Amino acid sequence: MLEEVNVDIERSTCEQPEPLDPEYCIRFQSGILGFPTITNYLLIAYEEGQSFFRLQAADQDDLGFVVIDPLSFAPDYQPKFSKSDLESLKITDPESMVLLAIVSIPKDEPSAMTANLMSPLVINARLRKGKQIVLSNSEYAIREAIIKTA
Amino acid sequence: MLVLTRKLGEKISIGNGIMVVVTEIRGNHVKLGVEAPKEVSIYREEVLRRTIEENKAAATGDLQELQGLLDSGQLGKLKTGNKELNKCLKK
Repeated sequence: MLEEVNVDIERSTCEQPEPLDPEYCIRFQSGILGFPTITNYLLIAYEEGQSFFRLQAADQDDLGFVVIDPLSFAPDYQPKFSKSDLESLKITDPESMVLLAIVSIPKDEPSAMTANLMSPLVINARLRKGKQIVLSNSEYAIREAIIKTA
Repeated sequence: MLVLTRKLGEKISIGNGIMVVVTEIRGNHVKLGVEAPKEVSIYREEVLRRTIEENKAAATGDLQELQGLLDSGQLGKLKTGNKELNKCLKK
């Protein structure tokens, strides 16, 4: 059964100092492209183990993205990031890096949903810092089908 | 718009610490090198524009479509094994 996604958000959760509270949000310092001023997001699971999540703007209830662990449907996905991108997120250990892809769901045909593998969200899980990184020299598609039709 | 004529190897300096150099000219292709501070993001314009358009189309307050698909079981096999993800989740 699907749990109801609760977007009841306390405004103060982004102001908490370290050590990180479990409620603490993920900070995208430069925002997500197209939304430069909205920097604090909460990652909410739909269901345990499910590869889809909701990335909810912490201070704006009506803004959110459906995101997916791209490795769940594209196991060979191995984007290359520049040193300066990884440095800006303070990722020194690949183990602490989390990749998510933003999902687009066409209203008229939801099963044709796609994920943006060209511009993944890269997150330092330990520091909860994230950034959308555009892979300008990659072969990964901006609209990769999630449900493969044989 | 400011338009400047440059030859191969010549540069343009923009603001603080941004330098653009013409590294190759071949037919109607120009290769540019850009040096900029780390915090300055550099994109091919059309790639950035497509990402912004895609993000805006994907942004939603509505979860109905996904819920329908999850309920229908079509996505049931898509699981994540990434333990680090749990550290990012709102509990």
